[in-house]
Amino acid sequence: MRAMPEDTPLALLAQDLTRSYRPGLLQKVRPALAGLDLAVPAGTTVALAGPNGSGKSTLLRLLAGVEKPNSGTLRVLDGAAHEARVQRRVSWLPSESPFPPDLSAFGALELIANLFGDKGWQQRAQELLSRAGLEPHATVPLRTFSRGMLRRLGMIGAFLTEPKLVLLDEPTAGLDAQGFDLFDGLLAEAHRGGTTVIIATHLVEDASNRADLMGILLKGRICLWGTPKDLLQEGQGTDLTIQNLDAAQLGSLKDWITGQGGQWTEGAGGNNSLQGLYERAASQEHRAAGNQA
Amino acid sequence: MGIPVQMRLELVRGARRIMAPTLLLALVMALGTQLSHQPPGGLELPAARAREDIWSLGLLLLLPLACLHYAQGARAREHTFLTSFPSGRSKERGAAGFATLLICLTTLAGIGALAESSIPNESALRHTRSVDLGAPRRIVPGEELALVLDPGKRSSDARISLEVASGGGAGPTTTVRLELIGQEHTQIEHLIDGRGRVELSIPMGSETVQVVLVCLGPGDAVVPGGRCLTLLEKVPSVRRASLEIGARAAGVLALVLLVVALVRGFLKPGMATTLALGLTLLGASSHVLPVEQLLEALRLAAEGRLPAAPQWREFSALWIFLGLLGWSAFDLQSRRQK
Repeated sequence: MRAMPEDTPLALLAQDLTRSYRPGLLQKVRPALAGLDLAVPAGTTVALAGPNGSGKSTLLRLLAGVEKPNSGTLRVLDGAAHEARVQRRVSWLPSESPFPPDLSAFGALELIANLFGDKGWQQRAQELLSRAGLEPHATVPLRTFSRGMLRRLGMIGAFLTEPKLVLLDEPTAGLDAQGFDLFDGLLAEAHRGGTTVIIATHLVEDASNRADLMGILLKGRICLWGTPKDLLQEGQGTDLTIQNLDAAQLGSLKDWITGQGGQWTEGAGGNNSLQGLYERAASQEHRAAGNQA
Repeated sequence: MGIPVQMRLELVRGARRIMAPTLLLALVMALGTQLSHQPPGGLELPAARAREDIWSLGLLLLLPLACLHYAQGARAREHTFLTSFPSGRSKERGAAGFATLLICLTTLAGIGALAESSIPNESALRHTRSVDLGAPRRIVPGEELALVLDPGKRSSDARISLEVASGGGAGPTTTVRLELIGQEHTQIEHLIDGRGRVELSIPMGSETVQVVLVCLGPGDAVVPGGRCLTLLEKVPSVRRASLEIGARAAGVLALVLLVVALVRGFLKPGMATTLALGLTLLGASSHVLPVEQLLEALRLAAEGRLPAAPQWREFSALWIFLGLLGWSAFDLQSRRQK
């Protein structure tokens, strides 16, 4: 992890970003992003964590230029996300394998290179396939690949053309140890090359070990933001196991603890987990809503 | 430089989804025709009907499959991925469109080859042009109708074909005689039951001809009017029928693919297909669209005839569709150069 100087240019800036969907013709519109603000310095690795439906994948789709926001400002690499000159420098790996199953691994990389208009891709493709352990399977149709192999292929595809911004949606789902090594190697190269990487994840290890910055998304907004170390340490406390107290006694205890400036968290085993962070983010959100009311 | 990977992919998919089932059906039909082949003599009509059947069923399968295939490309998960690339949408539209068109043209050539494989090649008559005879006219038995016709310039093998209906009166059928005035022994008698055509050889040249239609009874004869008189001219090979049906089918195909291209971005594949085929059928009566000409070509193919040669305007949808695909290619090329 590296400290970011204050004047580092921004790779992306989102202000009051909203995006909503109508799941069906007669169903109500469901907001996926509700006034999201985000500023990511260039060259950083950012982890976005949040429960299912919190808006992580939607945000990545907007950043990839696949969809447009309903309102708000979104600048990606100093341009609009859907502009060709921006998309040429952005690489997006969706959560499910996006490659046609009829293609081979080599064909999938050729597809990516063609779409980027990259001519000298073969050598780097061979090198990446070898690093991913996919060289023996390079000409086999992707329909025979396991989930982990597809993830590895997607990952090397995302870094094939050396983009300036890489968007990875659940990149480590289904990865084995070799896959994690590959992932770490690619991220390290990206760091050295000044590439900005955004990772949407459920795994705390992805965030704490690999990201410079981390954001917790809840209900389409970033509720917590900072370095993973700060976020994970900030809320740490002492776990107490309390037994043989009735509800009234527990209520009195809770009032006393909160009165002393402490935080009462029921049921969770501490805050050094994503679940703990979600709960902390949710309680902050709840308090903010209460204050506004 | 080889074929781009997207085109290769679309061609493989198109071959599997469109070409294979359509040609398999045409092959079964062609084999069926060969198995039911009868000894020579009176073969002309069944053979011509087999040609029409193979084409009709082939096109009935090909059109929806091609629509569905082209519409499906846009809805797949991979399409969303492709749109994340610079001008990815244009590339996808161009590759899928060109590949679908190429696969369909190859399939049409295959259907044509299979349609002709078991059918003897002979000379045939072509409906070169129609003559408008105005209002319908009824002729009672014993009466005659004199007509001065201007069928235009024609060759030595030219014939006229007059549509006549039996129109009630003393019986449900009637016999008519068509005579060419001024030419001895140039007449023909024909029994009309319902609706039929009377054909008569006419001399070459370009001057008007005078004919007399005599009703011999027992029923009345009716000349339906409108474009019921056709000039027929001989062509050396009836195989041209398949060539022209194929060309017209390509025009219709381009029309439905054009509609799909316009709606595939926001409609599901089934809906896009239904809409494209529905609009095409609704527009069948339009002179601009090639649908009517295709149906006419199929009908005449069953009679061993050829319709008038295809006109450039019948392929307007094809030119527009190719223009759209070309624009996609130009669009992505210009963006690449930025």
